[in-house]
Amino acid sequence: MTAATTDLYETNGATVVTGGLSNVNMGSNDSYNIVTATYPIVAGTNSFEKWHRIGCSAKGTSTSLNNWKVWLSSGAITANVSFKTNLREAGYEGAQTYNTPSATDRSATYKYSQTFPTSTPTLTNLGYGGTAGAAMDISSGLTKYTDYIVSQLQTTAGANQGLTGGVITYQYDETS
Amino acid sequence: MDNTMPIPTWKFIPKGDTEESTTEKEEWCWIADYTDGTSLKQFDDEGYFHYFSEIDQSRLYTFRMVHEQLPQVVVAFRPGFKLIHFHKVTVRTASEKAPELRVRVPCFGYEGIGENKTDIIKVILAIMPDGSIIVLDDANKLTFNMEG
Repeated sequence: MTAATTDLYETNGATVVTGGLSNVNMGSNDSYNIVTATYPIVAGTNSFEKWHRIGCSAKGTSTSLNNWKVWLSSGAITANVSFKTNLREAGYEGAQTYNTPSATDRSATYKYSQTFPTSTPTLTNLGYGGTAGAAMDISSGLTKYTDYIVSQLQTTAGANQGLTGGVITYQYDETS
Repeated sequence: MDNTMPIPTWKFIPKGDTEESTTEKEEWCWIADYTDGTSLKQFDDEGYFHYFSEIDQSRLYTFRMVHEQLPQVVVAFRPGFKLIHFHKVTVRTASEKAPELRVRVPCFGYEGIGENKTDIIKVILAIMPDGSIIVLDDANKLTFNMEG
């Protein structure tokens, strides 16, 4: 069996989609592979939102992917910092329609009021086609993407360091 | 002169396609043994790959996961139950400290209604990268340390 080819994709600007990311750093700029020293987040402000998706570009011998889970597997969220997302195991609020990333808190509009999980979720916390955990038929029409994972680092005036060494891990079940 | 051995491949027609393709063998492969003594191999001896959906579960006797260097893992199938097989794929994305890490864990077993007609019985075996086997009633209970 040849495994399906998946990757984490980031969307920036109008709709520029990039895979093969070398990091998922948050910063004060709408761009991928951010160097945090170049784009630091001033205490009391927010990072630009990140709009990520898991994409499948080749099926191999597989037929479908489902049971999507995403979490922060490394990285310490420091004092006076919140890492917000739309990922959620209960009450998933559907697919969010892409909008150019902003440093404004738009969590009410794009449903990213949840704290980014820091351990493997028990249940699916990401959707496909607007439904949490739904199966992605990869027999045709690739590349296909999950719903967007929208996230933002929000700080208060006392913050002196945001999220150090943040690494996103994703998981799914692959059926052939 | 190139003395390297070609990597063997198995033929199949990908779902949704019309043209034949080839695939390399999986580290762990399944074999479905039927009650009449015949078998269906995921990678058969004639050079063809078979999809899980090709298994005739109505006459399934045992479902085996085989590896070239490790002992096979066998599940005695319960008639009337649903056979399960998938890979749980976990991907730690790249960071400034570590490259991407990708782990694929074969999971297989069965589920169905118990003899009391009420309880749902589900047995999942997960073959971890070190060859150890974890038995679960829910593959969602598998956890991975992906720090890096």
